[in-house]
Amino acid sequence: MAALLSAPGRFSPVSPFAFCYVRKASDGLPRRVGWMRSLGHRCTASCSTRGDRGEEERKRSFDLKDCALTAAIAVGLVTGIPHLGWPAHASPAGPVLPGLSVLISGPPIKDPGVLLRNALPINNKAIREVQKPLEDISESLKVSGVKALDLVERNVRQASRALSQGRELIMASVAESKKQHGEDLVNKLVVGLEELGRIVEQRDRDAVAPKQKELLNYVGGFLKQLHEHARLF
Amino acid sequence: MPLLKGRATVDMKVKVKDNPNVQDCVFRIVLDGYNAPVTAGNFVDLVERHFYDGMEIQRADGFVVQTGDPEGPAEGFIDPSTEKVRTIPLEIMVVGDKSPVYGATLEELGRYKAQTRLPFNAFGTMAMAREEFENNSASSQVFWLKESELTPSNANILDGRYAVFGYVTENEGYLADLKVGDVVESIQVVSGLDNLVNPSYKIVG
Repeated sequence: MAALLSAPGRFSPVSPFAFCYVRKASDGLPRRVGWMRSLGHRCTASCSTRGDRGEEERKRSFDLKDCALTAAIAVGLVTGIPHLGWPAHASPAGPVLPGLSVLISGPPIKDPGVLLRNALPINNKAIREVQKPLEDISESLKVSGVKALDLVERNVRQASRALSQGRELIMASVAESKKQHGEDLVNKLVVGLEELGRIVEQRDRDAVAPKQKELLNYVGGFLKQLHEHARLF
Repeated sequence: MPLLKGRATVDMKVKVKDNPNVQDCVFRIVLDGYNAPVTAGNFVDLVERHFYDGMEIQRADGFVVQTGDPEGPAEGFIDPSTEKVRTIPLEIMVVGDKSPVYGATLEELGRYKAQTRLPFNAFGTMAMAREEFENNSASSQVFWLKESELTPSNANILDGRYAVFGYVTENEGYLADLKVGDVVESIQVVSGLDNLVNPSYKIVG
């Protein structure tokens, strides 16, 4: 068999991460840990004791500069923080670091089902307003103790409100031929949300997840109805 | 060129060797032709040709599981009608764009902050393997990402560089148990085959 085409990570068997990050050791001295993938293994495991001051310090400061430089290059490559176009005047009209808005976002979505739902080419914001609180229930359930169900209750209320307020908009993007099926799914959602509300009232924590899954399946089914209107290539 | 206009679901059955806990595993994979029509179409076409049946897992480390290199000197699928390796262009769909970007990585286009519609966020994200410096060299080799290393901008370093075209939605955890030498017994399309247009597998070579 011929040589493999490379998947990413050809350079090294370890997973790539492009930072050289600095960790404070217990004695207060920063220690460099981690490594730079694309720029070779320049920042390797750190200097250690305070022993040999003069030599150490010189070497350390050189390495730190090195490390900082490679870190800056890598961060620049990876996140593309623009260093041009900063406003020249004292009070910038927009965010000072325009690229920074990309850095501050919510927890990353790792669930393939959610990723697939979000990747559907549908612009219907109204149904997304129902989808989001339903998906947030998974996060709420991760909280320990009684607080979890309170959070779930809030999610359920958000979803119900979004559904009743947005019902017209939601149905607006359904094709005529699919209107009946769309209506059925929305009705199932309404009923299901009421049932979920009762489950929460009864503090039946274990029954929440399966019900949530059922409701998300209705949402998914509904989204599939909408794809008739999506771009066809 | 085969295109998948919509989604398709496949079941991939893998025989795991030398493992007392796991013998056979079936992975359910959803392929997204809305955002990767060429890539997903090429894959479904190969699945229908039974191209992957009997193929071994060729790479399995902490990072990816990979397969798709056929026996013989070729590193991809040889199209019987041209007798050459059939390759597909790199295809990346960006949030907000109307159609995918072809032939270039987002980095090459200077679109550093662009977000992909199909990010490498999930354990079990499926994408095309290709030669590192040849954007349009992908043919039949595919890989599944295991650990998703995210940068502070919640992006993976692979986003915009490799073409994602699906996700494992069931049993993705078992990807961790696969090792080199385990065999893909079969991949079968469970639904969505009618979304495949211009299939080439029906043409007798």
